[in-house]
Amino acid sequence: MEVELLAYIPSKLLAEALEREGFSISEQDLLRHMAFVFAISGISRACSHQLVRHRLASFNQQSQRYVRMENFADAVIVPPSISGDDGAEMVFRGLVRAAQYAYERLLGLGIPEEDARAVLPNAAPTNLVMTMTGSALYHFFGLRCCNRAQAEIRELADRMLVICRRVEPELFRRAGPYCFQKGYCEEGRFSCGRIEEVRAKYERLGYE
Amino acid sequence: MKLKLVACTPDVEELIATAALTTASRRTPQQIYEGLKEKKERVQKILKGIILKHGTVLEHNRLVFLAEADEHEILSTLLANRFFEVTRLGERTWLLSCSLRIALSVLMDSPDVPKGLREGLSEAIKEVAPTIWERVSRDGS
Repeated sequence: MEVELLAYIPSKLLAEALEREGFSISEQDLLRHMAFVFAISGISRACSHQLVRHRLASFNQQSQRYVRMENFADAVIVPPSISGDDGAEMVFRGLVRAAQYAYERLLGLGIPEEDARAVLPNAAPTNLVMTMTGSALYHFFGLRCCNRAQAEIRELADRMLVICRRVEPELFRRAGPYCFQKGYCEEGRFSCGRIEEVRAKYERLGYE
Repeated sequence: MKLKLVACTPDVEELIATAALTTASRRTPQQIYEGLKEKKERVQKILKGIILKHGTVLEHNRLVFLAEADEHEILSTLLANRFFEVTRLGERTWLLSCSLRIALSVLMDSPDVPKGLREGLSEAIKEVAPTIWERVSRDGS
């Protein structure tokens, strides 16, 4: 997985432009007008599918219609719970190899990429450009930095938060899972029960 | 209503081209973006070829305006497109922002917007995305 911030509006630039006109603005309002453009590559289609459920965002994703998925078996994203278990990884790799064989056979039979992709696994890799406002990012971090989020999107959210804190350390100081933002957990009986540990992590993440 | 562009994400046209190429390339968006830097002619060629109605590639940016307007004008603006963000700064002063896609959509599809909004959005598009502006003007939209 690779994540890079391609462009954003620095808060200082915006705040100074307003100051020159004699106006000030709260951090919360500032976040609504700031956009952050990320390049994300080498994530699974399962992860991108979770990502695009965040509707207050913009996405352009590598197409499986226009891009042939050659040799994807070597580039699949293996969830840590599977890669840490020999038996599970054998089952996983076997299915991926079978999927690659089926995909290539279908292409060989003249089936177009857009239809042959029906046999591709959720672990197939993908790339995308994603843009969110600062306030949308706070919501994204609230849900996806949480211990209840799946491992891959949680790693992605953590990496994005580190990047945001590097360029805007004060603006994103309160960002993180909702237990960190709000001081209490909203997950009810699904709570991980480790709020103090989680809050300690997000006090430091990206600042060390 | 009067608009003044006070901030915008950098490299608006390079990012439109990066987003467009990401959909049909094996290369990562990071590699595509690096490859397009300082290559204005290549970027212009890509922008002249994209289908503007496939508008998502126009969303990877933000235009932020200082707006002088009354409440009625701001309400009309928000009713024209719900994706504008608005913050009140003073009695007749607002911070208003949107992506290039929303700005273009208002120009093309919303004839009854407050006086001054179209002019402000047009000037901003001319400044930050001249190739896109040239296409829009040429198509007569």
